[in-house]
Amino acid sequence: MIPASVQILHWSHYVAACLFALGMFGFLIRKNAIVVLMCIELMLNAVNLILVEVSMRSGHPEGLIFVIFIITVAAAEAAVGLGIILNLYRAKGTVNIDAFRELQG
Amino acid sequence: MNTLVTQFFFPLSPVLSIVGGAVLLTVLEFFPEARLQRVKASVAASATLLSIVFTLLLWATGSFEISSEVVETSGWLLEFKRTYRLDVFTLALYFGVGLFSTLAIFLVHFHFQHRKGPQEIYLLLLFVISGMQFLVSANSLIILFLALELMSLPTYVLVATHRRDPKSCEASLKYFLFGAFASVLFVLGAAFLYASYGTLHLGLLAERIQVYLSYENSPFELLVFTYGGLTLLMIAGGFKIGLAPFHMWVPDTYEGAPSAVTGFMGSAIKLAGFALFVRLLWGIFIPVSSHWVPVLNTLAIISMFVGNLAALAQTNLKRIFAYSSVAHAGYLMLCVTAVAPFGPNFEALYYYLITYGLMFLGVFAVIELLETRYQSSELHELSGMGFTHPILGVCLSILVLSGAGIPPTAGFLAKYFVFLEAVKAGHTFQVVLAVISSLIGAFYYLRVLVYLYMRENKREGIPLLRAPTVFVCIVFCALSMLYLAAVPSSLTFGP
Repeated sequence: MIPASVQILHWSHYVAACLFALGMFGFLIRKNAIVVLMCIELMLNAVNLILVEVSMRSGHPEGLIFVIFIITVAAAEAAVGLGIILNLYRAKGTVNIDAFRELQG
Repeated sequence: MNTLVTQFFFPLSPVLSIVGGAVLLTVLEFFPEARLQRVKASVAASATLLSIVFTLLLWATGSFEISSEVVETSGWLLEFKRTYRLDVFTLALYFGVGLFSTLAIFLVHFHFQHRKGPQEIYLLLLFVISGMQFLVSANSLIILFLALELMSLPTYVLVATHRRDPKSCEASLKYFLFGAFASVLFVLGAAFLYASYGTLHLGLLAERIQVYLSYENSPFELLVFTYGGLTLLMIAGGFKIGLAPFHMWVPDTYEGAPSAVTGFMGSAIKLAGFALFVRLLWGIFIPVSSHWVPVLNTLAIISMFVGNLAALAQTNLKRIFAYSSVAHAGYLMLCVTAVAPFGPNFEALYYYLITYGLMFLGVFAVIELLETRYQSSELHELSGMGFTHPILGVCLSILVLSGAGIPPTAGFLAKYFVFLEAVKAGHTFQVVLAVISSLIGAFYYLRVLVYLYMRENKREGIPLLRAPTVFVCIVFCALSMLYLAAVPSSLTFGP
């Protein structure tokens, strides 16, 4: 029952992989909380690219529906994240992640 | 019309009562007077109680099959039935979520009686609860993702409730960053599975994984995508339940969040997180179980040792119990890996989740009392409390003994059931390690007892606040530890 073409990879997946790697790299090394938030969005969009490509090739709409939901959730996540970061800026006057070290041990 | 009620509204009623409560609270937010706080709390509490009642009703009527009339009409209702799974395990988890949430709402109410804070907290709590219920009964990766986010996003806000408190903000930032990263990994894992199997529906995925991987020479790409997807989903779940090595946020977030919220996170969210694991691992990844069982077993052992050893060095009660929750995630994972689908280990897992959750909530109710009175949750605040507050002392002792897994309490039986399942599955070596780690863990639990009964009280003149609701919560949790130990069959649910 394996479909005739087991070709899963597509060239656009390499683009998605590059985007995801960029996002992951930024997420791990950048110290600015807003840039980290942008890196999360970048990774989510890389996933969207894969889903859109697979959905277009195979012809079921499920992937496209998932993409719409991911975009919506990403917006909500950005709203909550920016709220938290704004709050931290009010408390400390900086958005550098390394400045927040009160909880340790 | 009748079909609509019996096939749609009735199965959905536990979730609908929570969502209805949330809508009502949204309307009530137009009236921000402080005296309405009590009304809002009672709306939230009655929504969760109503949800428990509907769960029990569904249990009593107990037909979970898709009826023939739905198949005939075959429209959106059939599609709904395919994506919303309702079975005995789901109902049991609904009950657990409802129970923990009701207790947590009482704690949150106490918390905000004595502090200034935003009023939207009950609204957010109800959103988290509905998210957990959707997560438990989701049968599609889309719904699973949405439910996960519905559960997580309000929790980030709940952790940062005290906006002016730098600790609370920092805890929220850490939780947010790890949580957002986990959800990215979750969608990537889902995309991998979608790319290789062409569906996001859990039932279809299970069938296709079973069929495609049973061939002798499955294409290499397919294997890479399947195992890649599995790994990513497991890492995402590991972040949510705080399994080592993905537990970095746990101690910081649990310490920085208000104690009432921490109690809620440690009990209810952990329950939902394990439900996610059970749905994915026992639901769709059974054919490849020989690959994930050893890996997750190793993570479980690492979790136990990391949690128990790190808790030894802590002096803050919140951090001690945060690390202990990491260790408990390890024991629970040991139960998840003892796969025997539809075997009795659903019940071992459920028993452990409920006893652990009640223990955690009870302990954090005591910490909430301490923090409200003394503005500190250090261990030495407990000094001599066993004599100045005898009932509270006895209750805390029972809870702590249950956490350590010492015989007259339910914690012991929970560990015993889990170890029994693991031995049955042939993981004897892991069980030996687990027993050793729980012996190490007993040390810091007993240290709490030492402070309760063998240290002098420096705060003779300042008794704890009178708080009937919190007091009832603590006594309820402690008594349930004894009751569940005496009648362990009260938590069984047979098909």
